[in-house]
Parts: sequence; C-alpha cells; structure tokens
Amino acid sequence: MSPISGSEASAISAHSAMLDAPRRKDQLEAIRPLLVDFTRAYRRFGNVEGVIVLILVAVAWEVTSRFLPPFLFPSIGRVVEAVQAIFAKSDTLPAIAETYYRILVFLAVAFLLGTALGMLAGANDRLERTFVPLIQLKQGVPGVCWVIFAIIWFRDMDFRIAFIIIISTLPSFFYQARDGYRGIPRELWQMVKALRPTRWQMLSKLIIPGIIPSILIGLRINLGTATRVTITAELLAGNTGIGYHLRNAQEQFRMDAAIAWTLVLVVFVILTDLSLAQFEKRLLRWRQRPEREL
Amino acid sequence: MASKDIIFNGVTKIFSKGDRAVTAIENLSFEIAKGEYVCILGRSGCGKSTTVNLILGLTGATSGDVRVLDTDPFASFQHLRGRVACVFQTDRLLPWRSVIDNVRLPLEILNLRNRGLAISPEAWLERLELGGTDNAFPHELSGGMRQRVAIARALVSDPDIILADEAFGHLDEVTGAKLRRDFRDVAASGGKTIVQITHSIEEALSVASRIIVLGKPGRVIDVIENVPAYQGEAREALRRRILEGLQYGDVREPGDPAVLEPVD
Repeated sequence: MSPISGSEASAISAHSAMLDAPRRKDQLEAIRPLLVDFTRAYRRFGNVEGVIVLILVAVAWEVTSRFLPPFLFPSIGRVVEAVQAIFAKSDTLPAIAETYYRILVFLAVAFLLGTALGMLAGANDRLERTFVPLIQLKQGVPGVCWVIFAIIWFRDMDFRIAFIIIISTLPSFFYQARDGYRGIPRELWQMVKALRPTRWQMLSKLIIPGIIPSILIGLRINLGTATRVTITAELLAGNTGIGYHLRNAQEQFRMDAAIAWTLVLVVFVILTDLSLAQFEKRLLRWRQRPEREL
Repeated sequence: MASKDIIFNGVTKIFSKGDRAVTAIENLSFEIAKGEYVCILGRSGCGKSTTVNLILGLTGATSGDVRVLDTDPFASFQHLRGRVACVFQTDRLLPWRSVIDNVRLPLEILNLRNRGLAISPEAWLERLELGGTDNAFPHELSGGMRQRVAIARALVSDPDIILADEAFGHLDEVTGAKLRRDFRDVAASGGKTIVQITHSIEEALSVASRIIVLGKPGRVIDVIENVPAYQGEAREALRRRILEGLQYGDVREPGDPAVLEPVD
C-alpha cells in the first residue's frame, strides 16, 4: 500500500472533520448547561485571576523572607504579629480615625468646590477662560512642592492637609464637572428648557443628574490621590495620623510595622472604593449594561 | 372669528454659521386658531424645527412678530409656563428617570404633582398602552414605547397647545402609523390646538384639518384648508399639488409659483 501524501491526508482530515461536525455540535449542546453553570459560578466568585496573582505574590514574599533579613523582608507571620501589636495600642484607632477623617472631609470639600467651579466654567466661557490658566499653572507644579509650601505657610496640621488635598484634587473635579456639564445632550437642554423651569429646577432636574456619571469617576480617582498626599503630609510634618506612624516605623527600621500601617491604609482605600462603587451602582442603575454572552 | 393661538407675522430668522449668515426662515406669516389641527409640511432644511423653537420661545425672531396665546414666547418666556408642550423628533427622555418620573417631569416643574389633574400620569401611561412600565428606565423600552412616554409627558400637564416636531418619522411604518393615530385621538380629544410638523405628505393628509406648506427658506408656499373634505380623486390631486409645490417651492427664480392656488 502506497503511503498517503500530504494533500491526501489533509483532504481526509477535512472530510472526517465534516463527518464529525454534527457529533461535535451535539456534544457542545450536551455540555452547554454545564458551561452556563460554570460561567455563572465563576462570575459569582469574582476575579479568580486577581486572587491567584495575590496568592503568588504572597508566596514569593514568604520565600524571599527566608533569604533576606527581617528589616528588609519580614515574613508574613511577623507582619501579622505587627498588625496585632499595632491594634493592641490605645493610640492606634485615634490615629487611623484622624487620617481617615482628614481624607474624607477635605476630599468632600474639594469635591464640592471643584464641581461647582467646573459647572460654572461649563456654563460660562468667560469663567472658563478665567479658571483654566490657574488650573494649568497648578498642574505644572509637582505635588510634593505643594506639600512643602503647605508646611511653610501653615502651622496647623489640618490646614496643611486641607490645602494639599484641595489643591491636588480640585483640577480633576473641575474638569470632570465641566466636561460632564458640556456632555449633557443639547436635545435634553431644549426639552427641559421648553418646560420653563426655574434655575434651581434646571440644576436639580437636569444638570446635577447629568454630570453625576462624570463626577463619580473623579471622586473614585481622587480618593487615591487624597490618600497619597495626606500620608505624604503626615509623613513629612505630622505628629499624628498614619503617616506619622509610618515615619516612626521607618526611623526604627521596622519594616513589619511599616507594612502593617500600609495594610491599614490599603484596607481603608479598598473599603471606601467599594462603598463608592456600591453608591455609584445605585445612583447609576439607569445606565444600560452591555449584554454578555454566555 | 375664532381667537388665534399662534400668529407669525413677517417672521425672519437668520443664524450665523462662522462668518456666514444662514436664513432659516424668511418673512413667514401664518395664523393658527384655537382648537385647530394644523400640519406644517416641508422638506428638510426649510425651517420647520426653527418654527417649533420660535413657538416654544427657545429662540427669538431676527425680525417680525411671533405671538403665542397673546404673548411673545421668547421675550415673556415664563408667561407660557405649562401652556405649550412639545413631542420632539426623538423621545428626549431623561435616561436617569424611570418612565413614570419622566412623565411627571412637567408636573414637578409646574409644582403641580397630581393636584387638579383630570388624568394622572399613571392613567396617561395606561391610555397610551404603557401600563406596567412605570418603573422601567428608558433604555429598557423600544423606540415606539419611548415615543409614547414622550407623548404622555407632553399631555400630562394639560397644555393649551401641543407641538409634534416630526415625532413619528423615525419609527418603522407600522409603529409610526399607529402612534400617529393614537396621538391624534388622544391629543385632539381635548379640543387642544395641535401643530404637527412633518415632511410626510401622507402624514399631513391623514391627520390635519389644515396644511401649511413651507418652501425654502421657511416661507409659506401653499395653504390647504379643510383637508378631510378631499377624498378620492380630489385627494390624489391634492397630493400631487403639494408634491409639486414642495419641488418648485425650493427654486427661487423669478416666475416660479410663490403660492399655489387652492383646489376648488
């Protein structure tokens, strides 16, 4: 029997694939419910890939800690002990509360101020021409310079942090609100205007709901920024708060304590972001979600 | 003589586009009496939507006089609060509001809520075959359903004048025809003044008691009174006359028929 040539082999394989096609289709149909169940379970479980990466990082950290001194890479067990030690002290919770209070309150002030200025700029070209050069000037100055200015200008710690948070996050709130305002479709403006609303009604019925998607994005982005600049300010010139304790850990070469305080911060940022995400989900439940295939 | 709800007297509207002046409406004059069902018919770009914006008071005339319910709708903007409503070309529903809240919007602006209303927002939804959709958001509805919500929103505050600016043109033929019928039945039942803007001769012939044909730029080239009286061959002749008017009305050369003679 003569050997099969390459072209014959591919023809045979194509033919058998054709014969197999209905069978494969039946098989696919048979496992379809299983696939659907698996997909649903996977979605319910959440971000599996993310969890795997975190586990791998933890394993790599633990392995590295066996080969390097604890002041560089403390073991996970040591970090857990440091967290326990931190929470055993009486001044820990007030320090955490103080930092969180600073971040949330001053971020809220920056949010209100930036959003109001952004809406004004969106509504009035002359006001926009007035504000934008100031914002651009601010954007050109590195964040750490503002921290130094605040330390020199203000004696009170809260004033310093309020100044730094507002100056760091206001441009983003400003631009988000301005663009959100301008993004409201002209047809909707005309429709509401034709009903002859008062200015307050225009604001409450159209403008604020119309810019909410934009400003919520700004709020979530700026939460990270506000946390960073608050910690930096506390680190450089604070005598209270998480940043101050981080500086103490650094001065004592206590890597385990530094990581423990950092974890406290990370938990805060994640919890706040999750709360904002829930708030956003509720507020923006009217938005059409893209359809997903099973 | 019936009182006039809408009067356009020699109205011209010129827009600036860059360094160019564009005449949308030129010396437009017509009157619409209280309780009339009038269609303003014209081709794209003949100033139909500008006419709507002038009636709504969203823009002012460059020259001439616009009177709506004895008021200048642009200069005395707040005087017509709640008295003129419009169903626009697209539904223009607020996407963040549920169906029922979209219908309630005019009432909230007028601080009326449900007080003294002959027909409640919920009843309007039922009447327009939207029962059970109260809490749905606009994106959950079909195009035809959204336009029904827009109609309910226009009618809920019981306005004196209702405008429909090519409100059914973008829907498929079956949905558009049904919606047009429903709108005519519901809107006209209260003896209101209805002004329907359209580019469809068929639509104008099927609903209007009077048709005002606009040429380009916005000016009256023909007026057809008592439209329902035209039946059979007379209706066909009328259709041809309007079509020719729309074709010739665009050409602005000496000798062109400016205003066609009415058919006997």
